[in-house]
Amino acid sequence: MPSSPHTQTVQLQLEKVPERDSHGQRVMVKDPAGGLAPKLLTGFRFAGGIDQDRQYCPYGYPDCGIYVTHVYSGSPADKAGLRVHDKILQVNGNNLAFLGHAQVAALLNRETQLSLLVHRGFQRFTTQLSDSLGSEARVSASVLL
Amino acid sequence: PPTDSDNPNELGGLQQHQQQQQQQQQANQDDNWGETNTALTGATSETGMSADEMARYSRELDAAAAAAASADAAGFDCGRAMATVLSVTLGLAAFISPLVMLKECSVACEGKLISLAFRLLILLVATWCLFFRRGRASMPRVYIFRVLILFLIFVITFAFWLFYGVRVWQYQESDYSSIVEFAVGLTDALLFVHYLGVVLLEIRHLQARYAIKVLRSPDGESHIYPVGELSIQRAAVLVLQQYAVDFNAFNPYLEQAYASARNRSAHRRSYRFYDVDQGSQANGSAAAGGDNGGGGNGGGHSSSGRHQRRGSAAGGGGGGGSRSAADRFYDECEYERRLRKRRARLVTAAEEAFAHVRRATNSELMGPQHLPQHMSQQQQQPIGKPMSAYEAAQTVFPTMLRALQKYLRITKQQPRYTTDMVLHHLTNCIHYGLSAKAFIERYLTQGPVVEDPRAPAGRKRQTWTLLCDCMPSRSLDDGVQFCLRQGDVSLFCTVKRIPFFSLGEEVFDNKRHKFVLRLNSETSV
Repeated sequence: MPSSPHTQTVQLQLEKVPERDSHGQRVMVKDPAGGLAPKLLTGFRFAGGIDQDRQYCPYGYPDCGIYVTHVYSGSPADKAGLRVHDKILQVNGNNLAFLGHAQVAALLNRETQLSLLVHRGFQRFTTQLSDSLGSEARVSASVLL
Repeated sequence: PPTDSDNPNELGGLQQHQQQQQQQQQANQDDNWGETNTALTGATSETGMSADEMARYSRELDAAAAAAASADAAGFDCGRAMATVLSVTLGLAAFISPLVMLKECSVACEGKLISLAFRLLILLVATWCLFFRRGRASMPRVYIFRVLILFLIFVITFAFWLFYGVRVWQYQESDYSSIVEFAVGLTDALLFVHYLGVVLLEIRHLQARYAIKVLRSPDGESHIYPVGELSIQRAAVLVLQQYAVDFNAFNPYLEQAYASARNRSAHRRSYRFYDVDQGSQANGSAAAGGDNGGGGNGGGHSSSGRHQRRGSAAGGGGGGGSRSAADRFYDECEYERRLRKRRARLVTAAEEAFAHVRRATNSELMGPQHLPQHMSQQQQQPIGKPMSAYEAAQTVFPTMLRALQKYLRITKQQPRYTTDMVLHHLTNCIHYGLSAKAFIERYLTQGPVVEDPRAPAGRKRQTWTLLCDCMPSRSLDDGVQFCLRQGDVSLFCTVKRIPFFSLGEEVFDNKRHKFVLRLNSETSV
């Protein structure tokens, strides 16, 4: 991938944190082994996946990769330096290129410690409507530099 | 219709006139004599009283004397004239009564007299403004509200005169100021009746309550109008007024326009040919088959062993529905194509014609034509001297004559316009500096009914017939249907009630009125 001053590829380390409910107690969920385990939070939302239709995404991502759409403040993701519109390339060495959305969600939920390889550089910029007649109006162009 | 209960003196003339009209109408109608009967009594009783039609009535007589019009247009409506005379007399009598009741004035009552004079003046102006207008229509049944107003006026006048006669003449009431107050009271009562008249006749039907859907019969064009609380006959008048403006003029030749050349050359109407025996065919040409069809139809039905086949002709636009759907579809597509081609040619020709003409500048108007100083001026030299709009129209008209003719022919409008009318229109357009598209706008569509130059006889006055199941002076209600007919054209009207709307309110709370983006898949981890 070409790297310009606007793009970078970073490696982030994440420690998940147990979720607490309104009373401060840990939230417990059933784990596959049969017992109860605390529910762990990473603190971001992602969209994408190879089985998703790119047109339904309002941000206009250029491909079907996994993109971070929201990072909760104060969460482990925030502390680790994850930012919105980052593209997650690998999680703990697993390549996310050909995984569907649900599979990525399962993968992220399974791991306790996450080591993310993240590509940063998605920019959304908008141009104005052209004044001259005859040229097309480009309202929003999302470009991955 | 209460024709017979009115003035017995006029009855003889009225009945005679009615018989004349009946005979003439029956001569005109075809064979729907049943409909003629019911509609005839409604249309000729003419008991609808319009407030003042004297002026219009006299004008009509002059016009009728001059032109050779049909019997309807030249009709001398006894009933209506009598009703008009009656209402005018009543109004005048009511108006003059306060004046007649007074005698000489004394100083003490001058204030009341002045106020009386002003009230009378206001009453006069208001009555003139409201009631002394040209009636729009004459209706078959009695116009109930008008009768009510007139009745009230009559009752008030009568009551006042009764009291006046008893008190003043009989008992010799000498207190003059009380007489003046009495007259003022009469004027007040008349003013309030006038107010009632305004509300009943003008204001009550302004708020939309019903929607009337008007459907024209031969070609299926329809429109919807909102109306207020009205009686059926008044709603019919409203519908006719809107019809004159909104609907396209009915062109009976337009149906035949769809028949393409291919179909027109083929057999004209559907023919039937019979198999007398099962094996052999009865060969008949189209004409023979058509002739035999009428006579053989009865024979075919009566005998059981005949095998009747109906051959559907390949076309025949005016036939009566034997064209198949594919034929009809193809014909309509062809027609649309040809219409658009000719329209394009017409627009081009008109624009070229208008490009030749332009307004003369001052220099061209004043000085004589001199030789151009430079070569570049030669292109702008006008051809010939400045001429009037009519001459300019005559000069450029032949360039677009052919295109216009062909277009009019394909839209079946050529019987409508003569060369003079087109030239006149072109002169107007040049005179006012209009563009080519403004000029041809008149010929592009059929145009509204009111502009149809071939309107049925009596352009200023049309006779329509109202067909209704219930009495036409009933008010409109949901589901009422009535039909208006004039010659070939039938307007079928259905009344629907506009529902009651109950509006609620929803307030924007800015703190809660937020939006989130919708992604097709987003998972929180």
